[in-house]
Amino acid sequence: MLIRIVPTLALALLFSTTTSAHSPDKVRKQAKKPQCEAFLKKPKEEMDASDPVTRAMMKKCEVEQQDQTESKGNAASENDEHHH
Amino acid sequence: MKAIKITLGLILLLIATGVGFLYSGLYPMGADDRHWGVSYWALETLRERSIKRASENISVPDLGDSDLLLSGGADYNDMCAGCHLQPGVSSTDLSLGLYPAPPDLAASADKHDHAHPFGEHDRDAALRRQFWIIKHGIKASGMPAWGETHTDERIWAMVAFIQKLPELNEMQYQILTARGESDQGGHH
Repeated sequence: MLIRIVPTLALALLFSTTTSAHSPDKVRKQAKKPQCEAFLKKPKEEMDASDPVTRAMMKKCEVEQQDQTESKGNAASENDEHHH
Repeated sequence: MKAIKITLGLILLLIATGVGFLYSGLYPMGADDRHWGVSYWALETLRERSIKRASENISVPDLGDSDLLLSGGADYNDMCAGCHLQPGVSSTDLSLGLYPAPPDLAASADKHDHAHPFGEHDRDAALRRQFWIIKHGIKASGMPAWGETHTDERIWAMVAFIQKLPELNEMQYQILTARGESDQGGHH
């Protein structure tokens, strides 16, 4: 039994240096937009503002809405410039 | 004197047998060849005792800030979900192929198929353990040391997110982990 355990432990330690860490840049996925539509449609009174998860979602979706509004505004002003 | 000679002889024989075994190539190294129960127990005990000792002096910050869920969620999705899963995903190629199997962190603690033998009922010990594992990784397991490339603050945010993960549904997970166009993840 010892003959099985000792080599297992020894090998785990010896070969441990061959385990390579993944670079965060390599594993980072394409940025995806938060899909806030269903969440924002929920009545406010159904949301628990004291819940950290709900607060974080509200914050993320508010930022997303602002970004969308700004990008729509920018697109509209670019279109106006092209027309002039 | 004779007893000492016999003892020394046995020790040398044991060492020679061990070295011979290493060079023999007989040990099955494949991840699809499972450890014996006793080997698994020995490795798991070694791992948990080591982590407990190494993490016992780490001080746990306040993890109640909802902003932590946003930064930790996005990092979890990028770096961890492929192995440790997410709501609505019960397996991936990595979760099935790695050995030891990475724990399903989207499942509640009582549904994990791995033991938390030290500090299971001690919340701070569990948080320290998670922080230490994310920061330092685990040898020969496929778990990287994210501390090489991530600050402690960023790792604590992941720990905060992992506490909430088993309670999240798919919609909540998607919103919390999506980086959006303005967040590419490199500026924490």
